[in-house]
Amino acid sequence: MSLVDVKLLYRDWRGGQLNLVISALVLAVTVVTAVSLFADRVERGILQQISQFLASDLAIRGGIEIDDAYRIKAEELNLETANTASFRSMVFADDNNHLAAVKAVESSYPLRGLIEVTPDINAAQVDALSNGPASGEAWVEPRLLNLLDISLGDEIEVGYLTLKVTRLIVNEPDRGTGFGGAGARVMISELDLADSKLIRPGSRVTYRMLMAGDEDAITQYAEWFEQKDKEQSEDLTVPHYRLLTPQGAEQQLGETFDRGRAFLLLSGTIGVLLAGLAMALAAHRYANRLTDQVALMKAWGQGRGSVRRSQFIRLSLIALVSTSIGIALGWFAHYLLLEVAKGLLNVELPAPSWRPWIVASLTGVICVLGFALPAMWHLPAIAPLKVLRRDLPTSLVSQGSRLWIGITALFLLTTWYSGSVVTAVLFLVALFVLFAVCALIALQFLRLVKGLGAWQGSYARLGLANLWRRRGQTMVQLVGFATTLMLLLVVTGMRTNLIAEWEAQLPDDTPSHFLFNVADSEVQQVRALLEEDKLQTTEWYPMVRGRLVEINGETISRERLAQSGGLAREVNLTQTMNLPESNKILSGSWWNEVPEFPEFSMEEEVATELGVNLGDIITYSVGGLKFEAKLSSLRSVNWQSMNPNFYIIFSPGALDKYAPNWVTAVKAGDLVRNKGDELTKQAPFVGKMVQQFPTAIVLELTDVVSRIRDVINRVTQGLELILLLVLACGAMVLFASIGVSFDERLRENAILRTLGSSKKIILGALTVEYAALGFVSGLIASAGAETILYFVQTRVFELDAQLHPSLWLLGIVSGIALITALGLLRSREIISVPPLESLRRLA
Amino acid sequence: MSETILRVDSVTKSVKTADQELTILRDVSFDLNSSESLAIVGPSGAGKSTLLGLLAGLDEPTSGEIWLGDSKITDLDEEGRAKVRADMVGFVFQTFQLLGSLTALENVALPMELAGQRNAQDRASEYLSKVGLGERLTHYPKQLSGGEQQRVAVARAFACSPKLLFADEPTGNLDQATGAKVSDLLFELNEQSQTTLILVTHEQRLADRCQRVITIDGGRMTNDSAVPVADQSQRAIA
Repeated sequence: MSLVDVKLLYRDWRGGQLNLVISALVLAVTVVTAVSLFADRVERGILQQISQFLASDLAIRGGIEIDDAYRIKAEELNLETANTASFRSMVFADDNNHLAAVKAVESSYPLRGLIEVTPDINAAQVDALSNGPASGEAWVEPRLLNLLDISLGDEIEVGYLTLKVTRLIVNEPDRGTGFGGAGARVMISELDLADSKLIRPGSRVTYRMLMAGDEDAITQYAEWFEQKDKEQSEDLTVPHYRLLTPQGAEQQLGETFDRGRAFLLLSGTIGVLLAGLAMALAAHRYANRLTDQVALMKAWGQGRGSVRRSQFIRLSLIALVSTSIGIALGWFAHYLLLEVAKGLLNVELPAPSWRPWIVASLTGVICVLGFALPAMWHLPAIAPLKVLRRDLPTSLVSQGSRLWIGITALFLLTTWYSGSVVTAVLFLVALFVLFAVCALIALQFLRLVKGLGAWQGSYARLGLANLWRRRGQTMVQLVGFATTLMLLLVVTGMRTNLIAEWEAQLPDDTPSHFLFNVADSEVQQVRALLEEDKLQTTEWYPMVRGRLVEINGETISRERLAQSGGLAREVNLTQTMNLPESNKILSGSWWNEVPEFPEFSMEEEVATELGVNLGDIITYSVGGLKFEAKLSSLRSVNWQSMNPNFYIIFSPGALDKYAPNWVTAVKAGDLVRNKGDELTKQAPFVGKMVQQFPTAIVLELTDVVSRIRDVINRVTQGLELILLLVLACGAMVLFASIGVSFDERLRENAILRTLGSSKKIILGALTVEYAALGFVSGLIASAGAETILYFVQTRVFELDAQLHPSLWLLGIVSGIALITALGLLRSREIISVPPLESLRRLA
Repeated sequence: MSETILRVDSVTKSVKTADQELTILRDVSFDLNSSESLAIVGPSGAGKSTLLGLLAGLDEPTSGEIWLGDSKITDLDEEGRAKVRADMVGFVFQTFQLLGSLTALENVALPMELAGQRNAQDRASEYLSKVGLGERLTHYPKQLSGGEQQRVAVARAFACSPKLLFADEPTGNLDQATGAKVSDLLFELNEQSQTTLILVTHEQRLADRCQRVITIDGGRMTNDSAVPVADQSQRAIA
């Protein structure tokens, strides 16, 4: 590398000619680094947990107890086994209670990995144990102590059991995928499970049989399992289990992460696109400035090759330095993302892999090749004669070619980020359509605004005329800004408005609590308890869990069942005489008396997915017992109603012989009133309920709502952070495109001032120009955001559409403020440099 | 006896426009000895600058031959001509052609740095002192007056010790007094360094200071005079 090239680059930088090229590149790399580092570390953190995820070499999972045949086979193969059962249940101590994640484990648990426990709350000393709690003991997550206001050594009640809290769990090998927010862990011995009376028919329990042993035996077992599973695949009366292997779990999660990472990176791509646009414009201006330099260098005897080499060295240095700075900034930015996501993730984050570094570095290189190089490609071909004849034409790479090179670079990056050509194409097409729509609307606005100028004051006329005159540039600025602002408004709107609107649309008598798992024998007493407190409930529904087996005598294949997300597994079944409030019959008829042959009503969407029609006879299996019923009606269900809702409802009597547990919703206070409060006061009946009926589950809907709100908050905050970086890229585009017309503006304003215009008029005209640009950008952004939110509201959340005036205000005000401030900042030289100096500089 | 450093033989330059071929220079021939000074004069659009570009190897003639020293540059491609320029040629331009992002010192040092000279900065500093700008080394072009900028350009041209110095209207952008100072400097340094000077000008006083004057009019060489004849020159620049 020649030192002169480095010197030249340094001097260009010192002269401020590289600021924009470098800033745009730094920003693009920052966005991509932050996003990919974040995604990578979270992914690796979670995947690392999965390698110990099973606490065994192999596991079987199912919704009902693992059949003996599976254990016998394991014993035959000399595999060690350990059973676990996980479910949610209320645990309480004195007046406090918590809906905990209970796990009952056999003494041999865990077979692989260790449970990390600590005898003191500060976790000063951590012991790693290879066995679970003994009978009579409960090991709990430290946060449960606060939740129940107890200390280590105190007693807690789990169902009908009283257990002593003997250890605090710091980590357990198969704690799951790390997405927190669920109840605190309470680990008990499997020996105590029966006495707790927590598990009854219809309870939602996940059973696991863990296995460990030598590799051959494990392989044999897995093969035996697959074979058995295949043989039974048509027989839906026998329980089906899933075989869990570390590789399988990793693969499945890996796919989820690929999608998540692709999503984040694609939102980052908008930033890269805008930064690329800014770079292309800035590089064009830089190349213009280099023209004289190159012509001189060539007149002094530098050959084409050495100019090309010099260009290559300079661009490489720009790429190297900017990418390094971008990576460093991205490293900081990813900590902000992690901070936002902290409550959502419950994993130890390992150091990132090589991938984010490669992604970031290549983004830098591709940006330079795709956006900066084409604008400068012609430089080595500049004729040395240009030193004498400045009017000599320069053969620039055509705008069309540059556009295609830029699009190709973007396409490469997008494909790489998303890992799919189809996604990349769809994404880019969608983005360009969005741009085109924005541009068309913007053009109409500009026409309108141009007309306005005719009757405005002199600087307003000047400013608005400028917008129209440089409409090409105006459009670039507008589109870049409007789309970014639009996305930011959508995300902000979702965060600040959607949940509140959903809550506001709930009727006053919306239930506040759900009661689950109430035993047949307890229903009357619970009713009495609620009446004592003068609390209203919705109807009580008996609930059993069962699955669909045959349609009109024909076995339903698992594939067909899988077409319907709602019915693919065991579902909750109920029976009732009255059509539930928030349901509507769409076809067929509801029974008004108990029919002779059992009938059932199905939710319309799942019926369509499954392809069943009115009059079809469907066979169900509940706990291995089969029965038939006729489909007599299809319903729509308002899932937002917060009432107990069911896909399948039978006519009374159909489920009588299956011991059900009962479910209802209680109206105890105003759910809406409590919105936003982190610590809602617990309804008084809840304490009584959990003490008198320890196996019942009380679910506070405010809890659920605040958890949803928390998740939405964090996700949108993370996105906002990325979009703010993208907005900064939008600002770059504004800067760069003002740069394109900078000399022209400098000259025009110098002439205007020479002709007697005051500084005030020029400042006024520029302010009007940028403010109008900001206004139109803000307006387009708000309209676009409102449209997107309309679809989110009506299609995703199934709410009534609502206007968001505050969003419009935010969009327009921030559009005007941002663009005016940035525009004037970039134009300050135009205003401040004395006219004579401007003219001399441009001579 | 001084040797011939520039030989021009029947040089013609035509360009194609949309509908016709335009001949800018027609059949120009002359020789120039080293250390001589030559002024090319003529009315605007006569083809003076085109001739300068051809002589300096910045452009190719349509026909004819040009020798710079021992190199027949009309047989060379652009890369070959670039080498010859690197070895022999320096420039001073009407518009100064200083790079705005470089200080005076850096502007002067740049061509030497590009040529790989080790003591570029020292030499640049020395030549800036010679043109009276020793105190302004770190000033940028925009901080200098027009005359000062052209003095930097003159320092830049001589610091490389070119055998031939081409100056295109070196005082064209300056007022009379400043122009006179710059031309004093130009001839002074030319004298000191024994450079062959070829300048294009339409300023009679500047042309008068050259040992030889060639007049171009309508693309033809209409006069070649070792001692300029006043009335001929007057006619030439009318």
